[in-house]
Amino acid sequence: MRVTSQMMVDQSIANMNQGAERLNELQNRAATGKQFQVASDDPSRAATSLTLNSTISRNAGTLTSLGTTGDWLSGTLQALQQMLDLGTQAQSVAKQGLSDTQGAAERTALGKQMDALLQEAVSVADNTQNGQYLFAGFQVNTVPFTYAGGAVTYNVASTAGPIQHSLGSGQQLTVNIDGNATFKPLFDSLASARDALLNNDPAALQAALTNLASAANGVSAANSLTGTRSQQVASTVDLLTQTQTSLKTLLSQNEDANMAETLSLLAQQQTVYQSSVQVGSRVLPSSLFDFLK
Amino acid sequence: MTSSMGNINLALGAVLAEEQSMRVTEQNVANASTPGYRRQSAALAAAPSYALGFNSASRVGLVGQGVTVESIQRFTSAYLDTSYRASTAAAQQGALTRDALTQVQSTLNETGASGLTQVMDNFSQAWQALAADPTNTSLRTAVAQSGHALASAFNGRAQALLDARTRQDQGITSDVAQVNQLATQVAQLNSQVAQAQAAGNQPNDLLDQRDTALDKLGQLAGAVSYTQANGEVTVSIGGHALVTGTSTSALTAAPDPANSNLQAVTWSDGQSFRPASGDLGGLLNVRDQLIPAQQAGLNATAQALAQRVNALQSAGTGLPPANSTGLPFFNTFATTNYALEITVNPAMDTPANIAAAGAANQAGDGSVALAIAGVQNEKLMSGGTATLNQAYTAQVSALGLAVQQATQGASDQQLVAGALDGQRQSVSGVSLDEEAAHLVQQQQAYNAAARLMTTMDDMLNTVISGMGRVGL
Repeated sequence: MRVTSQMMVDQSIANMNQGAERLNELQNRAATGKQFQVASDDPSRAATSLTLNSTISRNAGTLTSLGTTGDWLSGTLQALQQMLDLGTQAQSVAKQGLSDTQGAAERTALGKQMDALLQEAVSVADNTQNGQYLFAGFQVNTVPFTYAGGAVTYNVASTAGPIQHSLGSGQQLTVNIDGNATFKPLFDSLASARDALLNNDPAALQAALTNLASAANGVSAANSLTGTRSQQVASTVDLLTQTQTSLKTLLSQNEDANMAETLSLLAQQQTVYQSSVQVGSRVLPSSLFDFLK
Repeated sequence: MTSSMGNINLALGAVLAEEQSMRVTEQNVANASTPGYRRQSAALAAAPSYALGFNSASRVGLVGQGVTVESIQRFTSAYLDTSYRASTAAAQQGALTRDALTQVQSTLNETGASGLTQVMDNFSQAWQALAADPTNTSLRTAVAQSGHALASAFNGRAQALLDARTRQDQGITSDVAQVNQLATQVAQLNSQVAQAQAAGNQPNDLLDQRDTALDKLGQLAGAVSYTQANGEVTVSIGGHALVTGTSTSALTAAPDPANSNLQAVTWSDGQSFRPASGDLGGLLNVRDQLIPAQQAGLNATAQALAQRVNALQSAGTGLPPANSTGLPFFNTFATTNYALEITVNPAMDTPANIAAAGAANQAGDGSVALAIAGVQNEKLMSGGTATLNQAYTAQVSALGLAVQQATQGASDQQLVAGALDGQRQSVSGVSLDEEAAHLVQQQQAYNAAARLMTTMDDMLNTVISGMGRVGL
């Protein structure tokens, strides 16, 4: 084939361009540490990365909201635990009142103690988490129970909810305890025990004690239900945290450049590019005209 | 018999012929890097011979009369020209598609941290956070803000695609003007070439100019040409004649109301212009096929998302005491450019208006917020087979694949065009080494012819001055 001056120029430019292009690509890869910069560099990996990134950020969102859920559940657990303690105390006060050695004056004193326990129970039932009433169902801004003149007022008609939080990937968890249903027996039995003590009526007190025990069982059931929920949240958090770690590993495998490989390729390409430039500088200016006299 | 004067004339002819050859060599060297120049060479031929000793008894045969320049030959190959033009048209189309799609890809920036999938995820997460704590005003504000961010992510992308189409459109307008101008040029050159050839001349420079114009027309619109017997070329694009002899059929570009007022290109006879390749082929394909496909995907995503979120949001209830209900989250659409148009209902900027609850007076109910957070898991796209994210991710990777294919295609076509250009250069290009060698050869031949003349002069001198002077 006949080789002309223009062909040599064109070829030399094409070679240099090609070398520079590859060098640029490797340079980007080395500088960013990523296997690809845009989707077209590797569409299937890019799609995988998008999906992985999306899942990672969703999980991160779920982990954040699970934090809120966990706080709510611990607030609930704490309140229920306090309530159980109050129940135990009330039972021991009632038992003390049942003793035959107690006279009317002692029973009146114990009755006042019982009334104080009832007030405390109402205030525990009004516990809030982050400004929201734990046992008011959906009416988180309304005080659910008030104590006035020895009686408990139920301000919220239905405290059932259910308040549901997400566990991620479409799963939901009910997080609230129905305040009215759980605490009314306790309040009622506390009130009747107090009245029996004040009225010096051991028979009524005996009945109230039985009710008190069963009401305490109800609170205990709610407590263990909340405990189970709390555990479920904790295990979901564990699972998600583990998943996050493995997803991030996958993401890194998918898109991070192998630096050792990239840098050695870069060095190699640099040599190739330099040679093509050098070859160009040697070949281009010379022609037979330079050598003829 | 031969004449002494005839011998001097023969030497003179040789000197003149070599001078002309050198002139051609000079022209070649001067144009070694001129685009479109085809190398020339003076075709030398022995002058017709005549019979020596015509009148004598012993005929000795034919004797030459020296050298003449028959023609100035132009090195070109019609076959390579045609192949080269077809391959540059394809390469140009590929390169244009690659560039346009790369631009679209980088404006969409889906693999970055601000990609649309990421923004959609943020939106869902804001709702999920609100579902866990529905009375929290700052979370409500975050929902509205993430809605605004999502809407503007859609708007920005739709606008970028629209701008990309407009850019292609500007390219089309200027290319059409160039095609028309080149067509006129070719028609004029046709007339000049035909005249020159009719007069028996070889109009090499005009042919070079015309071939350059034809190369350019090939690149612009994939134009093909056929040379007629009279030296004129007929040029056509996509089966429609552009230049016939000395007349042209012009292209017009006018806004098309049916296609967003983008330029519609038609022939002067009203037929629509359909270039298969070249710059214009690429521009029209990108403007009318590739970018609209991306717009459609973006619009479908925006529409599906807005519809579903609005349906859930309108059915929900805001915070008491207002208990607002029936408010859509995104404003209703007035046109079908969903992605360009999508905006958040201003009512959502009042935190209490955001409906997280399923019924009135249930501040702690986050069921609607939870449902909206779950929209990302609903299969709303592709006939109920893909989630919003999946569908959009598929679109992103399809675009990536299209860019990759266009890049690969462009570089393949470029290689073919490069190889053909090499072959064409091999035939038509100037080699300085060759010209230097020719120059040496021509110089030597010139010197020798001049020397011949000197010798003849000496011989004549002997006859004129030395003879008939015996005994002086």
